[in-house]
Amino acid sequence: MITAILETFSRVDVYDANLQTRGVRSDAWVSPEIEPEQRISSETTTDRLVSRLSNGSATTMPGDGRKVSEPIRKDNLVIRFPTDHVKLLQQWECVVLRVHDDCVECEMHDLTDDSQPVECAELYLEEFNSFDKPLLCEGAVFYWSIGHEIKRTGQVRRYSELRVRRMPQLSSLKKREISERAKQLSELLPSNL
Amino acid sequence: MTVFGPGVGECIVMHLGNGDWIIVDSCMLPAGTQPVALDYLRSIGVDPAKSVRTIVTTHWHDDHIQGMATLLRECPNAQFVMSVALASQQFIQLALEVDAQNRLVKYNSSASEFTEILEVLESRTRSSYAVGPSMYAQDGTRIFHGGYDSRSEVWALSPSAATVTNASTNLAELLLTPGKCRRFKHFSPNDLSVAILVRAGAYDLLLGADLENTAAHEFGWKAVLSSTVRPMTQAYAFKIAHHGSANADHDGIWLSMLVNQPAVVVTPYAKLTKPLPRGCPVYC
Repeated sequence: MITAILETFSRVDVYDANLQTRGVRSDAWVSPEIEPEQRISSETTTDRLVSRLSNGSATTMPGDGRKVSEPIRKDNLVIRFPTDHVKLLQQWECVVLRVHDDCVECEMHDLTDDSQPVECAELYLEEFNSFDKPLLCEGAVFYWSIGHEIKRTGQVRRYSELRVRRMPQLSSLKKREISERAKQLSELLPSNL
Repeated sequence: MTVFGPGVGECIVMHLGNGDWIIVDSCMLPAGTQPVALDYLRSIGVDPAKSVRTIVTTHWHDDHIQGMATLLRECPNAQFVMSVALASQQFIQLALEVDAQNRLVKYNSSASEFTEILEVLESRTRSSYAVGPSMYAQDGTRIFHGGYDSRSEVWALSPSAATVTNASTNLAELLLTPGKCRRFKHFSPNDLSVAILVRAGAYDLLLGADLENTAAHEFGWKAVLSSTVRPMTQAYAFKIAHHGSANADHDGIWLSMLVNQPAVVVTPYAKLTKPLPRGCPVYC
């Protein structure tokens, strides 16, 4: 049984997505049919709604307790499944200064708080993704993010991620523009040579 | 002379008499709001726009160049001096390329500061010639003459001719990091650095910038000591080179370029796992 929360304009309709729900579908419309005794009051919580879905019935949670029988447009329905998500606590943009045998030396700029000073750190190479390691050289940029990983079950776990920045190459057109600009600037700066 | 060394960054502000000020390098206040030189000058009642005559950038490393473009903008009457080894279209092109490639990165390298410096200098240009002359420093160049009774002078002691020649052929390799993410190297050779001798009346000051002591006699401090075009004088004060790093020390500096027991100052560099200066100090 799949439980989905359907969010419409002004109310949340809870449907049991298995075929025991009695619904009439016509083109873009869904017309749920609900027995009067299955109507619930406005103070019913989502948890209690989930528990009542075990018999496969469809229930609604309108604010005013009225029976919901109006058709609902499919393109007005948003199906959201509770998912794992991450809450970012802090993130740094790091520039590699040196690569040693087992670690990288880097300077770190706090992206989440501009007032923090630039810091320097050594990070073990084994902390990086295998596909990122070949990119680690002096000047390489990577991001270090730390935060909380929150499971849909409510479990909270601390997480840390290192991800190297892929830098796009300059196009030949852009290089030509830069070349012309460099020529223009060098002509404007007189020299005492 | 006022030396700023907030842990990361270096800036020297000097009054040469007659209301003439010179600024060597630039760094930001710890909060990162404005260049420390501007904050200092305004705090003592000096108008940077009128009084700063020369701004020197000794080399392109992040800790010596942060806020330089803002300095230039706020000091429209100051001439801008940088190492002659960078006086090439090639260097300008490298700086622009690195800046363009790093636009996606929030904290850009010193290339972006150089790009901004070039734009400020361009904005000073009217018609087809520069209004405020810029100057390139190399061994034996007098980069300032003025002050009280026009007796103050500022001389560049480096880079040497050999350094300039070497840089012209290997600039990209010297300056840029390998790999696809091109930035100015953090630890590139400091041969291109501009060491400075300030002659202010009776007292001479030696500013070592980040110039290092290399094996070859044509580069670094060995080249300075063997130079025949620099003023042969002994300084009373010394801003120790390269944050007190042992590879920037040479006995000849202490024996022939400084008086006995000179006043010395060193700016720290904390952005390393082993910050400078280290446990093996430079003995005066």
